[in-house]
Amino acid sequence: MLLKTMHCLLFIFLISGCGLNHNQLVKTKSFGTATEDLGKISEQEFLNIRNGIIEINKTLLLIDSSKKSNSLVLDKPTYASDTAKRIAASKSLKLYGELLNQLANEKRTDNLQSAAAKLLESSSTALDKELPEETKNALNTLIVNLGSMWVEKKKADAAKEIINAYQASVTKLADLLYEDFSLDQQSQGYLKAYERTAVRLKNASMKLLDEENQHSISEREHVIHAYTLAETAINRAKELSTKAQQSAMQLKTANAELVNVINNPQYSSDDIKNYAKQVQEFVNLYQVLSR
Amino acid sequence: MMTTLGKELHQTISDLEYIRDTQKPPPPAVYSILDQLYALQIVLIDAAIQKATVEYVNATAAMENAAKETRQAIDDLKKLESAIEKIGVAIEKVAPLLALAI
Repeated sequence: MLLKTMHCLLFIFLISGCGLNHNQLVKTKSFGTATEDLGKISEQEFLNIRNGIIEINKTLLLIDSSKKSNSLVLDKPTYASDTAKRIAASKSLKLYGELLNQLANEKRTDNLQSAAAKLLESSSTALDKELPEETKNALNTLIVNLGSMWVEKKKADAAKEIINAYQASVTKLADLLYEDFSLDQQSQGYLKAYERTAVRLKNASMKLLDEENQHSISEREHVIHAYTLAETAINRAKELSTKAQQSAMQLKTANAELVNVINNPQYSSDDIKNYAKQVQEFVNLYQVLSR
Repeated sequence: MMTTLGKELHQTISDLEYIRDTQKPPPPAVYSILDQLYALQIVLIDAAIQKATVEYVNATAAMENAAKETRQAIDDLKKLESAIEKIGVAIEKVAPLLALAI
């Protein structure tokens, strides 16, 4: 009778809805990991761009005698306050990724096993008789299953609430990151500022390199250093831009897919898979390009 | 307005860079004009970055709002252990009734 009652409870749990299905768990975890990585890289890269611009402008001051103390603001246009706001936004994206990962990863089976054991012990006391071993085992399994389903259902409810609540702001952040990592003709973001500053240094160093026999070896050494610094920065910006933009774009489509998947368990597309792949490529490239 | 200016600036810079890179030696003024135009591009980018910063602040605030809205659900999950124990307590309470049924 007790077992029948527990089975009834299990049935009630089943019809009241259950946890995230395998597809939903995989997608949530995959999206969470990629978003965490993208947030982490963005956070580092905003700082790198600002430091890079300062270094380039210092070198420009060194080689171009026409530049005076008031003609260059070293960190323009990536001032500390603007950079800090971008870092804060990247951190919030990273934290969102972490949160989704935790939701998709946490396993509570051990806790449930111990809760089941305690429960059986106290039930035996309440019943004032020792239950047969067979019944105990069956009850234990049922309790763990019931508990797991309850926990998974709570997690699914939380995931739905969280993913729907974050949807709009993640999309907005994806658009902002796309612009900041773009080198398109019309773009006016952080990476473009870095690339334009480097192009300016390249122009100044080209002018000096093209002047014949007017500089000592030591002066020429500074110019060559400046030219190399500029070229390296320009190439780095180009490499980064492609992957970063693709990742930001995929973040947007993958975010839309995640919302669909979480609200409709049957929904499936490859957007999150592509996003995870894209971000992984970006992570790999970023390790190569790390300053 | 800004976009048109940016487009025209981009085109002028491309033309001057072409002269600089194809004529050897290029007219000396090309380098300094280019320097000024690059500086102007950076001024335009500066304005765009300031504007985008406001949007970043809004987006971060929206993320924080989402976090606040869902804090209850997250807190609930963090309390899973105690919740699991509560199931135990609940079943323990009905155990005497179940005993009658056995």
